[in-house]
Amino acid sequence: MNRPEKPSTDDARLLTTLVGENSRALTLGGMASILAAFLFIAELAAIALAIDSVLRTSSSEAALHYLALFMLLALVRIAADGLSSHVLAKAAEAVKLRTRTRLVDALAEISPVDKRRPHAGEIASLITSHVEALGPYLTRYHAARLRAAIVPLFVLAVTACFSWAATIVLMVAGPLIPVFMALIGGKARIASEKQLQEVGSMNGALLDRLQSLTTLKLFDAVPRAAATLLKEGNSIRTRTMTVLRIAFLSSAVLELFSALGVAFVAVYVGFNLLGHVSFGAYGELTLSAGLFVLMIAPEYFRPLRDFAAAYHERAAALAACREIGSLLEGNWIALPQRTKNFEPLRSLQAAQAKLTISGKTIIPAFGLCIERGEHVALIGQSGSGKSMLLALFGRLIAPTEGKILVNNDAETNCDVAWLGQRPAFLQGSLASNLCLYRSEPAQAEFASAIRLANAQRVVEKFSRGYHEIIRENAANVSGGEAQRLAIARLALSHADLILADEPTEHLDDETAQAVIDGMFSLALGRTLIVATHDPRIVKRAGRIIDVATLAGGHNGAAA
Amino acid sequence: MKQILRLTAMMWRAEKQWLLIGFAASLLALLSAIALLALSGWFITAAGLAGAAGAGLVFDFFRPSAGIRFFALFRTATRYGERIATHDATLRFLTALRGNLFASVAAKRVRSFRNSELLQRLTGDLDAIDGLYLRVLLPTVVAAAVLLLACAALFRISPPIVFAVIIVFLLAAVALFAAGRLSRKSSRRAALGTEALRVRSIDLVHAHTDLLFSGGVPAQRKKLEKAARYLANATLRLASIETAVSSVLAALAAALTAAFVYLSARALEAGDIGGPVMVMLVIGGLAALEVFAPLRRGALEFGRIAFSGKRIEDLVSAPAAYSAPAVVKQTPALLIQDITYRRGADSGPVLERFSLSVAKGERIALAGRSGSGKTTILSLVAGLLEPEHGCILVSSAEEGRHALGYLTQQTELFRSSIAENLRVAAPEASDAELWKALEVVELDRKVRQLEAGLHWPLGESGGGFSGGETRRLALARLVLRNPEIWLLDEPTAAMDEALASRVLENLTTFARGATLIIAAHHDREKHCAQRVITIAPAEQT
Repeated sequence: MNRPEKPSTDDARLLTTLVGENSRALTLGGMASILAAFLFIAELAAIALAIDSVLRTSSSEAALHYLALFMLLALVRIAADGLSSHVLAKAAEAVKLRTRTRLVDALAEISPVDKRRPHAGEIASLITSHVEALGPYLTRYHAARLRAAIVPLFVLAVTACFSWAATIVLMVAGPLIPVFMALIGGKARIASEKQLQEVGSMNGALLDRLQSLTTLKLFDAVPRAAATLLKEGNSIRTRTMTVLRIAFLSSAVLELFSALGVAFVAVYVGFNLLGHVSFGAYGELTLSAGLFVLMIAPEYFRPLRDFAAAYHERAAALAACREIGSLLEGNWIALPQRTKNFEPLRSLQAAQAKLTISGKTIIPAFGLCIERGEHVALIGQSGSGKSMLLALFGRLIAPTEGKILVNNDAETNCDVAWLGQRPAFLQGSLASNLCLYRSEPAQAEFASAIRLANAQRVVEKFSRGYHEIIRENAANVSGGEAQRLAIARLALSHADLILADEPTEHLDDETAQAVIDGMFSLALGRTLIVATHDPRIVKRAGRIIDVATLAGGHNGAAA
Repeated sequence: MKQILRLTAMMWRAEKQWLLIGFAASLLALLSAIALLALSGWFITAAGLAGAAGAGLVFDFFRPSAGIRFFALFRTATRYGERIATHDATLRFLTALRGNLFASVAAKRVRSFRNSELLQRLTGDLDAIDGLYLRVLLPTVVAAAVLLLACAALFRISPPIVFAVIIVFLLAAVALFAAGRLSRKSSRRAALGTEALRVRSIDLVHAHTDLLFSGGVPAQRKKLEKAARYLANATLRLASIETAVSSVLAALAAALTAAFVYLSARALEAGDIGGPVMVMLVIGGLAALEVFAPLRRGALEFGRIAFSGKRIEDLVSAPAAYSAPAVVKQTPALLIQDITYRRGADSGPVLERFSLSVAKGERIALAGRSGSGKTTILSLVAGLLEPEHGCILVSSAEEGRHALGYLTQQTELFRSSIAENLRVAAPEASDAELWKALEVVELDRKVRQLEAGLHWPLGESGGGFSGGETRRLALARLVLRNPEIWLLDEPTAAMDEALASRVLENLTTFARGATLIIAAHHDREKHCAQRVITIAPAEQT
């Protein structure tokens, strides 16, 4: 997912778009947490009054009604906090769910012939972990930002009611914090972005090695691969520590200021009470007021500290947004829009269709007409564009110029069945994979499809028959077996047009023969276009088109 | 719980000193934060009382105010040190664990796992275990240490306060334990939801073309949405549990604060303590309640960590890999005697009582229809499978040369450069040797045309290389290995006739004197052998 560096405003804009309609919930959650912070300050006042009354009267009874007030305030504050967390968690899940859906939608709109499409492992970590990185931002950052904007001012105002000198101490210590944060936070964002990318590529590298485990074993390369993994892990650790060192440094600066702020307030209040200093308060500072000022001093810094901690969550969310944006807003080869207008195929035509991809001509302008029921073999050297031609006919990619017409219409579609080099199977049972084109075929149709594909032995081989689970990369199915199952799968479809891309590529002669037989029985009464260099297929095709001679010439229907 | 203990033990062995430094720094940081506030409270109260009594001028303000400033600086320094030490230790542990796990997975028969599931297990589970030290062990040990210190310090002052502290800690422990129990199911669901999302998105990418034509894209999208919803619900439930336990802990903390004020006021009433000490106790108590906050997340992650720990153990305790055939110094080059092999205990034999002897330097082709067991024979010889019965002897005549090399049916390439892909076979090979190997497989011209040459990156499915070309890259690896016995499964698959013949000719010239066993799918492969052995499928029982 290489993308040129672009200004972070784009990531921030995407983040805002992703939050969308849930931004109100984020504000509500923030307000509730501000209320909780106010109530906590009131609790501290109750405690200060309780202590003061005990010290003045030397009686524990005097404190009781203040303590009851304290407990009441505490319960309300806890309720407000709970409300805030609940609202924020709900909003966060809604945003993550919507983002995941958008990612899947975008992915489904990218043409599978786009070779620059991100690796499956990268997509998986995008949809899972990168989206997950938005969570802490939503549940913590927003509320923390609101608190940081309001609560310190409230504490300052309250402190100012008792002592202007203590207020000045706090005022000096506080504003320095954003300055340091701006200096350090920017760096942390860049570093955290780097680290997130590295973690993503690490997952890809691990999947890559696990998929090729057999090769590693056969070349005695397992220890070497393990050592490389260790090396890569260590480099990730170094990078992560770089990020954290900066992140922790900024919080250390914050803590230093808050600790010094508290210390100076304490020392000032003490000296004032001793009578060593007489300025800074309005008249004499009482003990209860002094205690209260001391106790709320940490509350001045706490929102700033929370904000600093959450600030890095914003950096992580922005870094994730960059990855998310690269899929959502990337310049991919789009799948042509499909109209719902499906018709039985009568003819398939290319009218001066031309295909260029990023300025490179893949298929020069050509004309071609294939009539219903024709069996066409596309031949030509590897890399001559046979697969792209199939993609054009299957509307997996739109021609750059000219048109592909179904029944003389560029908007009409026909039912297509696809037979690739290696058929793809989804996680699930053999039966569910066979039913890809038809949801619930009758038992008899099932059996005849299997017979047509010559796949009875393949099914018998599985101890659980149709209930056998097909493993990833169809690991428990050989190439020939997979191809036969794919033909059985196609036999259940109602498609008029079969597009096949080198269906016998990896098969031995005997199996290839069975697959060819199956494919041609399947093609009876249907139109078949097969890209191949297998002479046995070419021999049986009704019409042969050499991709190299396609350009310029107009190929009418075969005689 | 057992898994957590075992993981803790493993971690302890790996990074003992870093863990201890982390604990010490964490405890010191908390104690200095308590000390800062407690001393400040004491100072203000003492100053206030002295000022009121008119004794302000004789009051020793120097030592308390210096102490306050010292604790302010000390708290910052210890907090920073703690964070660096604990995070570094966790990451060290995780890296080592990942490496060890890959090695032990590689040594197992793990063919029953879906690969993306394996990846999820390794990365997701290791990430979960990330929290073990930082969010479970560290807060628990620190809380226990603070509890002990508090009890020891308070016991002489006021036994009822100790009693209150113990009761509140016990109640907090119960709440945390309950939260851990309650969250276990939801955290397992969250893990399963993530796994389903991962597997289904990989499926969507791999099977996109088939899904497009079969009209299955909307259904696959729905499945993905369902997985995302499942994950969202589980996460939301976890959040609710977290909110509930936070509320309980906050209520306990408030109750403890009130108890501190009241009980210390009683002690004051009884004349056991003075005013400054009472304030010190209350304010210090408020600061000490900070130990609760980190415990909450630990309790919630406990279930997830235990679940991950268990899965990692399952992975490591999978059956060991098969033992490879014995390598001996004798003729013939390969001796297969009476082997029987079946895929599962309840399925029929793929091979039954199969025997074969191959002389050194002989080139033989295995023929027979698909499924007759050609690939099985090669895999048995290479030690990827183990026969149920019978024995296989491989002979090695030359010191320092690999006895066996195997070109598997499925071409496996790494997502790195051509050079790195080739050096899997020979890490020390020079560029010249790589070019030589590419020449043998007729790929040198193609690679020379590439902009980056040997450093051309191969993508997921070969990166601009066709099926036939990736096949030849895999073959080039074997040329670099140059073994005494070559096991070749469909070496010329996906190549046209003329190219296949040239490659086979180059190969037989290069491997002159070596033993070649080819699982032949094409006549051309049979033609280059001196002997063709047709394998009949074993009787189905």
